Amino acid sequence: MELIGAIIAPFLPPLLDGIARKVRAMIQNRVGPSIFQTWYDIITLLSMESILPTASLAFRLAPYVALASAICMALMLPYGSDAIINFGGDLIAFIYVFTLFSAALVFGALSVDNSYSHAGANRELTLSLVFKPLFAITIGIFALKTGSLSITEIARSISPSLSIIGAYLLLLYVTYVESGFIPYDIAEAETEILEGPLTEYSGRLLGLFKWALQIKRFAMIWLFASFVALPVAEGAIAFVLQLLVFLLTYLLMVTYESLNARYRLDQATRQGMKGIVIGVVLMIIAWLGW
Amino acid sequence: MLFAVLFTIASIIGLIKREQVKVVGLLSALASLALIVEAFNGISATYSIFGLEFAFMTDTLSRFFCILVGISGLAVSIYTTEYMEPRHLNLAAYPAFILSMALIVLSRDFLGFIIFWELMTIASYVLIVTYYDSPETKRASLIYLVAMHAFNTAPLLLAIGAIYSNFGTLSFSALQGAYVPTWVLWAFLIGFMSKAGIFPIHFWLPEAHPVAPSNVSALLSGTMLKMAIYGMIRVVELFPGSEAIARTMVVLAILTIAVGAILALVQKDIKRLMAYSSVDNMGYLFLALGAYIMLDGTLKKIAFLALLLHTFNHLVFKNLLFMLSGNVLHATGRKDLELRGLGGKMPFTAAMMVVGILSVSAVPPLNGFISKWLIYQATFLSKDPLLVGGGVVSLFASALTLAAYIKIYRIFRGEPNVEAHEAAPLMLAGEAILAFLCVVAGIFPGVIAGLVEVNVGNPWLISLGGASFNALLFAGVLFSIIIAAAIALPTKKNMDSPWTTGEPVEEFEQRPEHMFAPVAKVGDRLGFVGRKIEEKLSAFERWYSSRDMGYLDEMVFMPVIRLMAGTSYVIRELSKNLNALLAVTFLILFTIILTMAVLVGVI
Repeated sequence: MELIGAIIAPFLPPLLDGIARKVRAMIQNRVGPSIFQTWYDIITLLSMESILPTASLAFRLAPYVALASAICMALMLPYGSDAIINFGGDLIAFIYVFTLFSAALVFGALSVDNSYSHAGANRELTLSLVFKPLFAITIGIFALKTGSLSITEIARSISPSLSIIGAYLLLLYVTYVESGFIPYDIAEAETEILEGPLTEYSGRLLGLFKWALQIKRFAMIWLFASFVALPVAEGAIAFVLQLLVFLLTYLLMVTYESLNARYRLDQATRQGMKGIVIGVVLMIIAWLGW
Repeated sequence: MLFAVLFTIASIIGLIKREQVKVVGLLSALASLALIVEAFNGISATYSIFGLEFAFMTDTLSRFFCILVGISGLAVSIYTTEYMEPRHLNLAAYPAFILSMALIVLSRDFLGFIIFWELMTIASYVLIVTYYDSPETKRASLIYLVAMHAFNTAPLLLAIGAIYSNFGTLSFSALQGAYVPTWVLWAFLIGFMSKAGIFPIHFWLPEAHPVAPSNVSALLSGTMLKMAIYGMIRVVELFPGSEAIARTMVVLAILTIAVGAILALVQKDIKRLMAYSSVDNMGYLFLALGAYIMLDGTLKKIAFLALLLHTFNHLVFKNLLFMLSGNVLHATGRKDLELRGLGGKMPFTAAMMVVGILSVSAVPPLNGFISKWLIYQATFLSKDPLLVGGGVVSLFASALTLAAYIKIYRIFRGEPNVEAHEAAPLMLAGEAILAFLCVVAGIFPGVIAGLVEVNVGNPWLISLGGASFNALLFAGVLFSIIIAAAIALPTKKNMDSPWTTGEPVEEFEQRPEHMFAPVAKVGDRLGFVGRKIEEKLSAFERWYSSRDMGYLDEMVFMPVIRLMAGTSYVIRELSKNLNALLAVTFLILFTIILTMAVLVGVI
């Protein structure tokens, strides 16, 4: 199963995006492109030379680091019962590998003298300032109730209660936001700031970044699927269940996405603040023992 | 104790030959190297001067801190040879400053401890007033001196006096396990927290650290603050009953983390930003220390390891960052965030700055990650809501840190707006040692853990109880993917200029103060609350000319300082020139020695 995981983690995500495009097309009464379209795009981009707007090494290195960190995020999660490569690590380490991904995106964007990419970097970081703590609070509730920080350990000792149900909902919300779906795709807003941090990237480097973004989205939703599937099943069944929950969540998120328009940055942060308040309340509830 | 001799020689040379920066710097570097070697081998010596017995010995804790002082002394001294400008007594004070810190951790009794502690405060004061001709420096150094003696030295002297009157001895070995009154522990806590810059007595730190020359700022922020951690650990280890102060410590630490991180985000000056980030990091350390006192079993061990590893890591990257800010200041004469385009002329500074930024932001696989990760283990797993809350706040602060420091990265990119040149080779060499340590300590955290005799399995991983992270494997996988991708899909240098839909870049630039607006507003609101409080307070203080200050800390605690400053009008009048400042310094030193004599002789 780890082997299957190692294959699907990097290669499935662009295909999923193809499916998402199909779903969006159906909702908007269009035929839509083939489900392989995202793969075609990435392959085309990867075969093209990049034009560099700056001599900065950070600009050239950023897509490679982003891809590597996105793959590492996927590698850390359990497939069935074990991670593909066991770094040890846990949810906190997962958040920080995610931070490495964000850092690569932001360093790349700020390396070039372009106000659009700067705006994108600024938005990416501002969002992370609100939603990383929300992520932390969610994990904190699980840790408070189960005394553990690793997904498999949490799954083993979890029992339903008011705060745990709340934590699941928060986790779903954080997953949705951190996957960069509309209305939270503020950093890479195509129509508004020309894809923000990616605006100066072209060809191969852009292809790498697009691929990395898809893998990051996969990892985030797979994390949620693991939280749902692992407490109820083990081994191969758990893997199948993970996959099912993952696909269902993905489709639901895509459907929700296509019915929404993008938030402004201040609206999104306000939503995040509300989330944090709810999270703190839930944490108090968890502490009181419910 | 060869290192002490070398430091003393360096100090004397600095005193009589005031131009010999290179000699003093190299001697200090050599002495620091000697300190590291001697600490590894273990030091045990007793000296008697004028009837006072000084006993120096290494145990696990002091050996670890000695090595820390040695590492930062080595790197900063190499840097100093090219950086420092000889002015008045600073060349004599520089070696004395490092020496005093080494002797603090080596002392085996509170007498030596407090004497060298005071030497450290005075030496650092002399170094802070290096640029005494600027009013900013004068004000900051006065705040520093007054705050240190009121909030740091005074409580420590009270506590130590009480210990002597209760037990008749000041030796650590004799006091081990002694039951002291709780107020003594509180006095120690106040004293050490003031030195560490813990909220609410952190206001002096962002004033004093940025005005010093950058090599001194590095030692102040990276190394001197750690002495407070050492002192607090020593007290906690010596005296039972520290559970009484643990919760307060944790609450204040959490507030410190939040205040430090938020105020770092809204700074416009590179060194001030770094100073606030030090406040934030000292919060992490006190949080870990609080967790260490409160927890039991494996988690206690994790908290202890987290505390010491973060002490080491913060020392390494904060020394590095402050020295790099010195490169920028040296080359351009500026330290604001409006600088642009330095990367072309200063490629090594830029590269090491990226290492420093990633390290302070706890991005794996660099060293900041491992220790913060351990702090999260200790807090999140404690099942104690206060500590879990502390963990959440820490994670928030960690995200803020990246956001704040990314502004510093921007000074290296864009169109150059200032003349610049790369720093001298020796300055870069000193920094390279620390940048190298940032990477190595991140991948081989077990080596550092070995220094404090905590067994974590292997040099390249941390495995304690349920918590395990294989740093080498992670770094290996990460770099293999990067290298594989770079080989499979390499990029050529096809250069072109950026495209901004025809708009001129300068006019639409995202200015540093406009970044992260929705969150930075919170920082401004903090300042607003501060201003409100000031308005109320100033009603009582009309007689005192108000200054332009925008932060909560300054608002709440400046009145105390003002009161101090107000009652010492005589000194303030004198402080217009340096000689008088030094006179005041020696006057205070004399007073303290007198107090000490009374303490030892009469009681």
